[in-house]
Parts: sequence; structure tokens; C-alpha cells
Amino acid sequence: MKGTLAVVAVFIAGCIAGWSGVIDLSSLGETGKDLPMYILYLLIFLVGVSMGCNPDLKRIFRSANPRLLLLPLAVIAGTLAFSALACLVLPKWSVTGCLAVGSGMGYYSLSSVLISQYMEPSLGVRLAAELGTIALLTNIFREMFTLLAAPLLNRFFGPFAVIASAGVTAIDVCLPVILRNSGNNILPAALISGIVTDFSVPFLVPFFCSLG
Amino acid sequence: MICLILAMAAGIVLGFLARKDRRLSHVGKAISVTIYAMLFFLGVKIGADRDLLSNLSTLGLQALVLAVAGVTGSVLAAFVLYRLMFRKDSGVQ
Repeated sequence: MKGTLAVVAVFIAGCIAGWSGVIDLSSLGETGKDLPMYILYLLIFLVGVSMGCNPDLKRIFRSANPRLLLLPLAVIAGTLAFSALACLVLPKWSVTGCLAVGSGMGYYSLSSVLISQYMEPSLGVRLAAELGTIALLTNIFREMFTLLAAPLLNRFFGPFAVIASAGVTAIDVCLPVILRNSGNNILPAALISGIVTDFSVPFLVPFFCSLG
Repeated sequence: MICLILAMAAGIVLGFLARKDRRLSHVGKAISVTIYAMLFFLGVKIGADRDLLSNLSTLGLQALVLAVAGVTGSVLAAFVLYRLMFRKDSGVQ
């Protein structure tokens, strides 16, 4: 929750800076306009480093029931299928735009900045920033809903439901409520689902953005 | 696009080669800092656009639709998976 507040605070601070004109990216010339792009390169590089050096990955996949890998696949497939359906009531956005937001899987900070950058060539600066903001809010709502509705999800939809709803946050923010509601023996399922969905975000979001 | 794939590939290779290096335990913090920097700039873009700023509640409504869709889809898929493959197990382990 503290992390969420920090993310929202930084985002609002940016809004205020842009609104008041304290920071004007276009007045900084070419370097200023490309600055977010350079930071994106750094971010993607660092995400790669964290994947390459992750020691838990091999251990988790070796120790656990391999059928548990079906859980993150179901979470991703279910999220994407219904995000595509949501596009029917959101005429402003293309199917791929909705899929890009959905494939954030609850990783609001990364998905929003990826979308606002990757969508720029096809949607333009303004619409890309708009969709990035939608991704930020969508994935924050997903985390909040999971934290609030965990007992109901577990009772009506079984022990995998809270993990599914949590998406990426099954390994961090939502892990305590998952264990509290679905029991401690759900831990391997939560870790596998959280890690696999986490790794899918930097691949799926740019993929759907590149489809336009 | 190709540059970004290369940046990620370079990161994965470097991270794997240097996986014993203690300093890599800080990489999560470095990711957070870069994400914060980008979020700040996303905020700047939105703040500079008065029309967009006044439409923030519309964006919230659209986000709500997508959040409900994502949660519903993933929960239903996980529910079906559990009923089909895991319910007979005494433990999920």
C-alpha cells in the first residue's frame, strides 16, 4: 500500500509540474523530448538484469508441481480475453490498446510507462499518455479490489481466485491476503503465478502496443 | 523497437553472467527509481494538457471497466482450472 501511495504521489507531482509549467519538456529541445525514451531503455535493461540474475526462478520451477504453471497461463488468458471484450464498451480504444492495458496484470507502474512510450508512434503523444494513465488506474484498481475482496473471491471461486485477481502482485503486495484467505499451502501457487505473470508484462505490453 | 529488445537481451545476459555479484541485489531499487522517473514524466505530459486533465474522471471510468474485465476473466479462468485439475488433490502443493 505504501508503494501504491508513492506511485500515485510521484504521478501527481508530475501532473502538477506539467500543469504549472515548472517543467516543459518541449522547451528542453530534442534531448528533453527524448529523455523519457532514454529512461525507458535504462528501465528495460534493468528489468533484463533482474531476470538474468534471479536465483529463485530455477528452484521454484524444479520444486513445485509442474501443473501449477497452468495457473499463470489461465490468469493471463482470462485477463486478455475479458480485456478484449471490454473493448466493445470502450469504442475509443482498439482491441490491441485494451489488450495492452490488460496485459499489465496489475503491474501498474511498469505497464503505464511502457504504454505511454510504446503507443506514441501509433496513437500520438496525447492519446498514448491517456492510455498510459488508464493502465495506471486499471492496474491500481485491480490491486485494491484484490485486497478488499479476497475473502469473497476465495469463498465463491476457490483458492486460486485471489491469486488470479492479484496477478503480478501475488508475489508482493497481495501475498499476505492470499495466504490469510486461502491457507499457507497455497504459497507455491502464488509464487509461480506472480513470477510468471511478472515476467510476461515486459513482453506482452510492448507486443500489443506494436500491433497498434 | 529492435533497440529495446537488444537492451533487454543485453540486460539478461549481463544479469546472468554477474548473478553472483552482491551489488545486483540493488537492481530492484534501481528499477523502482527509473519507473518513478518515467511516471513523473507521464504526469508532466498529462498535466501540461488542460483538456486531458479535465477528463481525468472519464479516464477513471474506462479504467474501472478494464479492471473489472481483467479481474473477472482471470478469476473465472482460475476457477475453471481449479475445478478441472486441482480439486481432487488434498493440498495444492
